[in-house]
Amino acid sequence: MMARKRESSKWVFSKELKDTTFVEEMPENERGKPFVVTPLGTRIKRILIAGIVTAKNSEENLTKLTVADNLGSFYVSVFKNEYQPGLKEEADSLEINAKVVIMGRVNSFKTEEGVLYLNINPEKIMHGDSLSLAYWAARATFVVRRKILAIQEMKKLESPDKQKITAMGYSVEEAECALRHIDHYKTYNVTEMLAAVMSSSKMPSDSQEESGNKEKVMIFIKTHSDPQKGCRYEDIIAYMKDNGMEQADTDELLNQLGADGDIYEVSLKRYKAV
Amino acid sequence: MMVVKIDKLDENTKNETIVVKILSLTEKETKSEKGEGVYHYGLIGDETGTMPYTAWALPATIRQGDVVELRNFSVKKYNDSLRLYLDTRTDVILRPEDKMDVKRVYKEYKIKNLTLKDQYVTVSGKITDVIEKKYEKDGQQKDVSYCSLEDDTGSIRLSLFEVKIKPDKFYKLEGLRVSEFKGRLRLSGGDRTKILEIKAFEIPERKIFSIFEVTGPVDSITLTGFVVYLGEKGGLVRRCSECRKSTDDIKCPDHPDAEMFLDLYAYFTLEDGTGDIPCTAGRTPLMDILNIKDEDLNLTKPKYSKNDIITKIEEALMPGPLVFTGDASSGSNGISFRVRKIQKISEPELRLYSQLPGDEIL
Ligand SMILES: [Zn+2]
Repeated sequence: MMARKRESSKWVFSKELKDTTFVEEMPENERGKPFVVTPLGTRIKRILIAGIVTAKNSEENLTKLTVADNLGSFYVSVFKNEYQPGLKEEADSLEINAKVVIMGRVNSFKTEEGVLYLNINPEKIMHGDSLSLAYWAARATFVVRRKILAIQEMKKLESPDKQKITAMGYSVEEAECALRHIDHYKTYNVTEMLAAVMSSSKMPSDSQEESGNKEKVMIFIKTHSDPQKGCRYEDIIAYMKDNGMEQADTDELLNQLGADGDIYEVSLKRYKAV
Repeated sequence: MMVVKIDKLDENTKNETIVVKILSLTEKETKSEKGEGVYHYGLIGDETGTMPYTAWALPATIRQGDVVELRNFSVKKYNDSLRLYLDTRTDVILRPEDKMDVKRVYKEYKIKNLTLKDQYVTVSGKITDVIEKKYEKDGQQKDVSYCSLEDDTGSIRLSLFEVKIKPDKFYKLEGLRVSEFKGRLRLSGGDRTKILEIKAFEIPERKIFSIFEVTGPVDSITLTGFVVYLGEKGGLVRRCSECRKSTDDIKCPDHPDAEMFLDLYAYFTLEDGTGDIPCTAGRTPLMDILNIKDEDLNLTKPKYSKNDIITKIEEALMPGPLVFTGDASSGSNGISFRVRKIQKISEPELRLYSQLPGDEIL
């Protein structure tokens, strides 16, 4: 008999899980939990997260944990389990602010209003440190960046084509993620996701330089805006590139300006100053 | 008669005649709704080069090594390289009198990309660990050198017959043969291999891979990650000095007179966000990371109990992150990784693991 391949865990930021709205149908005659499909097309059954415990609620049969990464929170439910009696004890022993690495199954629940809730049922809870959290964040960043690049390449094609993407050096899984993104989350803003990931993993930069760059972007948008359509995203990127700024950093600035209410997106990838 | 040569063929080739040598000939059975069939594929060559071919139809008398004249063939691009196609309309005329010196062109590979799919290749790299031996063949003394060939993507074992090579020099080796032995790839060459000494190039101390990139056997690579599962049968084991099998018994059932000794062994699953890979680690890397010395593993007076060792391994490996250097090999259950060295990750190197090619290294 062929050994069944272990389902390797996916390392995703809390934001990718939080923005998830799609759950696969469970195949007939199969037990267990269905796969959830995230906005980046990641098909998840098993997940591995690393973060800081920010809340804990212990009851007799269930301990709930909130675990924060740089972008938000994961919700973890540890049930009393005869097969792994130590697991709930492990969860109960965790203090607030403890650093943890948790591997588990993603469990989905849809309310009558159709809102999807995802939580994690751990298979393993391990004590982490700042190094393990930083390593996890670095790898999760690597994975997100490659997935987003694959999605962007796929969108450039006339019609989605898995083989063309793998021929560029992406893995089969990355190409399939890009296909699932197009199938289920076509309008999802991956650039925003990238900006959020990049800003969370960046060291605090010189704030003076940042405010100078913010001003540059604002002035450019104000002076290069079509009255109806606004300013093209590509033009902003190109302009800032000439000023020595990488696309990801400009994305982050646009993200911040949007959050601060200084600019808004008129339509997809078109900005206007408020 | 005007004949075209292989180096002049392209996708627009039509109504040409070519004379080639059949360098290899493999039969393949197909099954489809239409029934079962057979086709052939392999490599043809002439004085200008070589090209892969597929023959949907081929006279049964054709053998490897034959020189043949082909008419009404076609050339198409497949898997990014040109391929010659023969079908029922193609005339295949055997030319038994003809001899042909084929110009061999071998595709150049990085070590990590070597596979059994392309068995004759060119590889450039640094030669290390040369061991020279003699062997007898047909009553004659012959020389063979066993060594390692290393480039910036990995390393591989290399055997060279009747060829001398200097350690720590860089060479370009054209026409090496790829084969597999016990799940690991190796290269061999002989007097027909063209060997050129080349300028040294940089080989990083660690050749860091993400797990998803490990799709075939390759030696001397580095992986990073969290250990997410630790095999229960690892730890401190008693081994027979004769057969090296581990046993819980006092004596080896097959070799009751042989000495027993204590050994360390671990198997575990490693993940780095891009996939998982089963790993094994033996005495040397474990002693190192657990800070255990040879005298601690004395059979009659062991310093640690079985449980002590399991706890020590768990604490040292789980979750990590750690850096593992070793060799990837392929087996019936897919790729696995034999760890030769385990190290801790340092803070400054963390940024490497989120980087993509083209990122500026600050
Ligand atoms: Zn024995």
